[in-house]
Amino acid sequence: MPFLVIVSTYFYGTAYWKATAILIISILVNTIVSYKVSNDKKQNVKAWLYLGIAFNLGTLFFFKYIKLFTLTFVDSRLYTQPFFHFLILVPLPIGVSFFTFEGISLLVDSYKQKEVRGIIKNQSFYSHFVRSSLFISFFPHLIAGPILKADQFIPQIGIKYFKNINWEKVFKQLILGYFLKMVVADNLKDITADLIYPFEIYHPVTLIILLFGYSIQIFADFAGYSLIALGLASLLGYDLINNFNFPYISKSFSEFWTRWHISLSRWLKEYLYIPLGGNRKGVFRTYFNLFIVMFLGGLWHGATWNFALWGTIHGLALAIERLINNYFKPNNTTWYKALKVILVFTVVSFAWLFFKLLTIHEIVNFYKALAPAYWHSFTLSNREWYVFFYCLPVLFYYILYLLRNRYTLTINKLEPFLYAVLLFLILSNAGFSGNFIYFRF
Amino acid sequence: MRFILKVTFLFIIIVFAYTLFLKVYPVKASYYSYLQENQIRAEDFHFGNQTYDVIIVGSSMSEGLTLPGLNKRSTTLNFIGGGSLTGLALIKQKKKLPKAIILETNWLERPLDENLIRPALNPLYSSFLNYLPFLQEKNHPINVLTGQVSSTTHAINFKEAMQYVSYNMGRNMEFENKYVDTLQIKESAKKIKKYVDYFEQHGVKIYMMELPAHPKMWSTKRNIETKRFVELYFRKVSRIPPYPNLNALQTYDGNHLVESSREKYSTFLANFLIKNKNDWDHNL
Repeated sequence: MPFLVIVSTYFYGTAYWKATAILIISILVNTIVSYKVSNDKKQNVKAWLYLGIAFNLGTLFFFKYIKLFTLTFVDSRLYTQPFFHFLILVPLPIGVSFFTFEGISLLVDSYKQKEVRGIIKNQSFYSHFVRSSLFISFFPHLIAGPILKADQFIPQIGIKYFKNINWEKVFKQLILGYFLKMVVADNLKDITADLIYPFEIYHPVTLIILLFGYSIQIFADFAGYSLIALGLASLLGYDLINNFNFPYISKSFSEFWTRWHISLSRWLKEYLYIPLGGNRKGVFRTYFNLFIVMFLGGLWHGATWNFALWGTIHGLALAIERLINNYFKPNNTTWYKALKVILVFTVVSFAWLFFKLLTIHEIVNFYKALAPAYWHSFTLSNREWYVFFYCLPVLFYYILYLLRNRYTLTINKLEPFLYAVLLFLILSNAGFSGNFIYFRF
Repeated sequence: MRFILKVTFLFIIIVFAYTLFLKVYPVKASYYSYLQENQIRAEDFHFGNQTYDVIIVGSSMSEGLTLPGLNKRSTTLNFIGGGSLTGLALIKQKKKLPKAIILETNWLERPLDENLIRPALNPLYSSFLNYLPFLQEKNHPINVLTGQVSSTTHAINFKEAMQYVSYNMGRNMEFENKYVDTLQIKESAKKIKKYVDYFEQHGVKIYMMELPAHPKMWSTKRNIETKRFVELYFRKVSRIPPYPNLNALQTYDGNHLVESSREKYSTFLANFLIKNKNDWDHNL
């Protein structure tokens, strides 16, 4: 275990070695506080818990949001003063959003979950330190998740045996993960790079195709990373939460959030939405809670108002959907369901613009370029074909998932061939490598 | 484990089948991004058997330059987002050197693109690409597939695009006044000088070419600095004379010539080379 901790910390250091100190301090503080939460006198426990949470939120705020707050609330004439200049230049340590959330999970679970508390109580401080370090720094999830929960990971920590590795599962996760990242996302990245101002030089159909392409790219990029993380963790004998469950077949926004970035949705639900009162404190509070959770969830993704707006759009969509569901009975025909899937996918895709474009001004210009005046004759060029061909495997992946029960035998027979094709495409058709989109969060 | 073995076996069959397909069926290359375009250009040049009398090396500013009258014996080895250095490195690895090289100086500071010259410098990697042609960019399955169904590339509404000349030029000017890496320009100039000396020692005539741009762009800090180093390091190297009527040329972003202007400049360049053939074609 200590070896795995050292390797993980080294791995983190290779990405940005100066931030290793922040990671180590975070591990140390969370270890000490969670140990205190589990072992100290009952009357002190809550104080320790709040102290620990404040430390994690403070770390996140300082490294991620101080620049945004300074730029928003401080007069620009003061930026040249050493103090404000320093605040603007605070670097963003990679993965800070992930390991601070995991730190909070460790503290809350050691307070609330008997199993976690029991494990910590039965350990020496050194042993608890090693386990906490592994929980926070475990390299497959350290930089871009999935966000682990202490009550699911800590009980898994122990000696692992080679014979227990499920090689087929590891192989499938890694091949699929690398395929989604290297072939789909990395190639689409170079095509959707055209989504920059001036948008008017493209036909609106091209713009919409590029936007849908970006929607697939962001899915392939993040789901690909998550599958690679899952595969690597499985190889080391650990099961991580599956972060994606075919989100683009969601028939509602609430369903979307049970399928997209599942570990974040679960974290926000358990550590924010429920403590805020969830849906137990009346209609108004429910809507308010939904809204505030999505707003903060959006801001979690990045320290710009773009992301806050993106979260707000999703919060509004969830609130409106809840309101509609209260007054209308759902129609269960296939066509109606298909229509809902298309609607959710379209709204989600248009909301991704807040991820892709840097300023609100650019987003407004994008929408302006869709105006009827620009709908002149359309010629299909290789740009649209490329988007289609790189989205096709993802579409096929979804179709296979939907047909898995009806054609189980055929799909099982086809599986080795499909994985061979994926392997071949990884070797022959990988795009020019680009950073994972979620690394910047 | 049985599953993995099955996949591996099928993977080998697919590799053989696709390699055979590429041997039997000549594919039409298609590409999307400039990175792919650069890669295909570099690989085609490296693996191609054709020899050239004149090669133009440069950046995206040299894109589409042709030499009417010298067409079959000339080529343009320019790289979008890259510079002359990469082209020179690729030429140096060829068995037969050209008689003349036209060296674009506008983006002198662009460094050597390691990715593009890898096949030229690494014989093992080169063999891989040679014997497993599907590893070459133009033979990537999706590029082949797109090449079969699509004949048009990059459908941009140029009429609309031309409305944004001032916007694009403003952006480029801001960039070129803000980011001037003198050290990088100097380093690149030094490296290019070594190549120029090497080629001249091997009887290759070098012409330095400063492509026309919008007068406002020519006066950016980056351009002024570049000209200074060209003067410093390549004073004795021959020059392509300036285009006689700059007002007749048009760019779409201050730097890149529009198609009609590119054609005019190509004709001018070809005429200059034909007129001065005695200087570079020693077989005459």
